[in-house]
Parts: sequence; structure tokens; C-alpha cells
Amino acid sequence: MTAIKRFFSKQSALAALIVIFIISLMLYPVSRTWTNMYNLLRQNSMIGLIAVAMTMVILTGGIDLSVGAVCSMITVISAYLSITENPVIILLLPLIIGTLFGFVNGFVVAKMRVAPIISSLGIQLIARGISLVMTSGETMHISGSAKQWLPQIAKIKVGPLPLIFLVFLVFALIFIYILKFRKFGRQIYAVGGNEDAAQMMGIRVDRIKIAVYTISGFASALAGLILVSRAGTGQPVACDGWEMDAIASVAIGGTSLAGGSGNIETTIYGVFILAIIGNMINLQGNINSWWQQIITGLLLIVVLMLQVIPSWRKSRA
Amino acid sequence: MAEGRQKAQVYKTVLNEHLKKFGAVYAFLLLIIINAISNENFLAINTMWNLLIQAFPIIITSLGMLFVISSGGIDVSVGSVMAVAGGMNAVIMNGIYPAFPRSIFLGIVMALVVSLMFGFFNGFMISVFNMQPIIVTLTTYIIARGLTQLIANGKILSFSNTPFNAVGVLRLPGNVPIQFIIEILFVLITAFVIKRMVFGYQVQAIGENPQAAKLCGIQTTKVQIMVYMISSFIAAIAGLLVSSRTSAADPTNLGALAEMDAIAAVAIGGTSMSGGKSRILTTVISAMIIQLITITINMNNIHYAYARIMKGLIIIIAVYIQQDKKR
Repeated sequence: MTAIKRFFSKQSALAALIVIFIISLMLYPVSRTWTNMYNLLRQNSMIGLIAVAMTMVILTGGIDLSVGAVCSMITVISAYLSITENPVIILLLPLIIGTLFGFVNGFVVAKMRVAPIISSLGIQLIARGISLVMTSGETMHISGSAKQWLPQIAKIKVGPLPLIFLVFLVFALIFIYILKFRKFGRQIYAVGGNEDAAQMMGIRVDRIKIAVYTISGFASALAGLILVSRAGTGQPVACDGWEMDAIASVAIGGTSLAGGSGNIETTIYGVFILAIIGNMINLQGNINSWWQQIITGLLLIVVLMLQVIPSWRKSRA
Repeated sequence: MAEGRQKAQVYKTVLNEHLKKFGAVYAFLLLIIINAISNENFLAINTMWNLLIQAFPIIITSLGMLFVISSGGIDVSVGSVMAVAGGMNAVIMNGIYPAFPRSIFLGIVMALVVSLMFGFFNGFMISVFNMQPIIVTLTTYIIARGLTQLIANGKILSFSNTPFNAVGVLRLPGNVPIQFIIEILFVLITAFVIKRMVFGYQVQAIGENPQAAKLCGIQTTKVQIMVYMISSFIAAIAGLLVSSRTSAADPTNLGALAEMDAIAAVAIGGTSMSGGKSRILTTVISAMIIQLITITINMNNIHYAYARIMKGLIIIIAVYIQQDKKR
């Protein structure tokens, strides 16, 4: 009993995920099918990538509002470049451009000392503007031979799993490893915990900050490539509000928005908690889909309350 | 020689300080001049009224945001609260729910009550439980938008032939739009509260240093709750006026991204994102700059999406210029 109690208090996000997963299995026969789970994994790989990177940005005490806009811009750029008929350009150049946007964001935050929320808001507007200028607001079709092979990528299976989920998984595992065991990871925590102290310890705070925003740009670009492959078109208005979903997942995972504490694993639980709730509402069919937002919000409150109440009690005692 | 360099240094510092303080004013004037040259109709009085009508939501919500940011917080729920106020009023006015009588008065009261409840929730969670403002207001952002969609059943709620329709398009004698009067009123009240009332100083003190403010005997909990309620109240007024002017409340698009415009206006206006001194006049001018960018782009037949790129660049550059360069 105490073991269960300890598990719930230590791994509250994982516990919540398990409980919600079991509830969905019990209530909805469809959710027991592999097809449903397969779709769940495939659909949430993109937001998962973004949320993993967002975790690191938030760990340094920052925030990145540009992820959704960059992701959507990458789908447009990739579709635009499909005219070149060159797979390396169609896949690699958007990735580089997205990473560059992340780098600029990091540079503005770290070197020009603009507040992260403002800097990333600026980048968001610029990225969204670029995709709208390129497409006049309409979806952009892929041209040439890419029309055939690009949508196929999203359909590749490796064993029973979709390739794009594996991309997400590998990305997440790499950064879980880096955060736990590499110098760079520990430095991220140090910067978020106390920036001045980190600076005095000889950590190059600027570089760490630029690095996390660059990773965030890269992750958004990767998510954009997955989306263009899945949708088969460049979508200038897609990914709207993904930054908020990613931030919500990070918060549900228990990472402090003030920076310095939290980790990637729990963010991933957060992503799938939100995903399963959305899935359950879809499967229910007869309840209004707007409930999804309200339930997400209420869940967020519950999780946040669980996190703050212990320290609140301590401060009152 | 050395003296000359010293003098140049002094001039440079003075110029920098001046630009920091009045950069927004110059940018505003520059935009006006560009427009006046490129379009001969721009300097007509009607263009100005239009600017003031279109900039209305940004101007007044940025004043609410000014309180929040001065207190060291942030409120990303503004747009959703605008939507919930507009939507709540519309469903009651249209008599969609039999439990409520069809009444404009009740609609407006309910809109304000619900918005103030969201504001109270924001302030309460942030001040009592010490939660991060961005995540608390993000929750409200999600819930308020969801609630609006739910009560409106995802549809645009339009209304016509009610006295409420007339409010948003009301022109006072001399063709003065009602929005202008409300803007002036809110700016004056904000200026009075921030410059003349104890509450204003308390807000800024909390933004400067919350611990010190508490030790000075400021009731930080009360002040913070008030601040977020002010922001939500103003958002509700903005939502009601916008829905009245357009004769509809669109649960998806009403107030969408309004919080970002408001945050941008406050930031361009030179108020520090980490709290402290509130700057009222430059905030209002910055709010007009944001709208003026869109108007400039439209009037010159440039693709509307360039307005976003311009906005993004201006936000980053303006905030960078006003940064304290020393570490």
C-alpha cells in the first residue's frame, strides 16, 4: 500500500496516465484495438517532438511561443521546394531553416536580452507571416515526383510501429539521456535554477540558452516535415496553438514554469494524457467536442494544485 | 581631444535615453508620415476615427495588461475572456437558454460576472498558491475558449435589431465614435490609478520586488487578485464592444490573439516584462502602432501577411532598443 502511495506521489503524471489509459480501455472497446493506439501514437508524435524541446526551453526558465508557426512554415517551405525534385533539398533545407529560426530566437533571448515571451512572439509573427505570404493563405500542393514519395514516408511502418513515432521516440530518448547524464543537460538545469549562480560557476549561459532554442526550432521543423508528409500539402494555417498544447503538456508533467526542475519523461506522459482524453471524447461521439478544451483546462488545474499544495501547506505551517 | 570624446559620449547617452523614452512616439509619427505621403486620403479625420475604432480592443486590453505586467505577471487569457463575454451576452440576448430571460441588461451583467470570475480565479491561483502566471492564465485561456464554444455550440451567434447593436456603431455629435470616448476614459482612469492612487504604487512595488512589497505591509494577495480582475474586466468590455460593432459573437475568432497584441503593446511601450514601472502613454501609442502597421499595409495594397512580419520585427527591435544594456 505504501509502495503504491509513494508511486502516486513520486510519479503522479505516470500514475495519472495509467489511470486514464485504463479508464479509456474499460469504457471504449474501440480503444482496445491496435489501430486506435497506432493512430494515437502517430498523431501525437509531432506535438511530442515539440513538447520535448519545449521542456528544455522551460527548464532554462524561458518559453517558446514560436513552435506552432515555425512548424506550419516548414510544411509550406517543404511543399514549395518540392518543385526542385531533389529529396535532399525538400527534406534537409526546411530542417535547416527551422533550426535557423530557433537559433535566431535563442540569439535574441541570450545576446540581445529580450524577454523570451516577446522574442518568440516576434518570431511567431514572422514565421506565420512568411507562410501566409508564400501561399496567400491557401494550402500549397506538392508538385512533381514528391507527390508520390513524400506522403509515403508517414505511412512507413517499422515492425508494428509507425516510423514517425520512432523518430519522436529516438529524439526523446537522446534528450532524456543528455539531460540526465551529460554536462550540457546538467547545465540546462543550472541555468534555470539560478542564472547568476550558473554564470559565476563558469557556465556559458548564453550558449546554453541559444542551444535550447535552436533545438526547439529543429524539433518544430521535424514536426513540420512529419506534418507535410502526413497531410500531403503545405499548410500555412496549421499547427495553430500548438505552443499552448506543448506548454500544457510540460506543465501537466510537473515541470516548473519558473525553470530549473522537471524532466522530459513526465512531459511525454503529459502529451499522452491529453491525447487519450481527446481520444476518449472522440470515441464517445455524442458529447460536444468543445468539452475537450474544458476538461484539458480542468485537468491542468488539478495537476497544478497537486503540485503546489504541499509547498503551500509548508509555508502556512 | 579627450574632452570632445567625453562630450560625444554624453550626447550619445542622452540620445539613447531619449530614444528609450520616446522611441514609440517617433515610430508612431514615422508611420503617420509614411501614410500621409503614400496616401492623400490618410490625413482625413475619418481615417483617424477608423484607426481609433479598429485599435479599440488593443488599446484598452493593453491597459489591463499594463497592470498585470507591472505587477510582474502576464495574462494570456485576455482573448478568451473577450470571447466568453461576447458569447455569454449573445446567448442570453438571443434567448438560447430558457433559464435566462431574453434581456440585454442581464446579458451584459452575466458577461461581466463570468469574466470577473475568470479574473478572480487567475489572481487567486497566482497570489495564494504562488503559481506561475503564464500557466494559470493559460488554463483560463483554454477553459474560457472552450466554454464559449460550448455555450455557442461552435456557431457564430449573430443578432440584429437590438439596442445593443447600436452601441458599437454609435457616433456622438461631431461624428466622434463611442470607442474614442471609452478609450479616453480608460486611459485617464488608468493614469489616475497608476500615478495618483496608492493601489497603482502597490502594483508597481510588487512588480519591482514582491518580497519587499510584502514586508512593507502591502497586501500582495489582494492587489494581485485585483490586477487580474481589472484585466479580465477590461477584456470583457472589449469583447462586448467588438461583438456589438460586428453584430455577432464568433466563438472561434472573437478576441483570438488579442492577448498577444496587448502584450506586444505593453512591451513596445517600454514596460519591463519582469514588472515594475508602468508606462501608460507609450503603451497606448504602441497599441496604435500595432494597428497602424496593418492599416499601412492595407492602404498600400501590400499582401496582408507582411503586416505580421513587420509586427514581429518591430516588437523585437523595439524591445531590444529599450533594453538596459549593462549586465
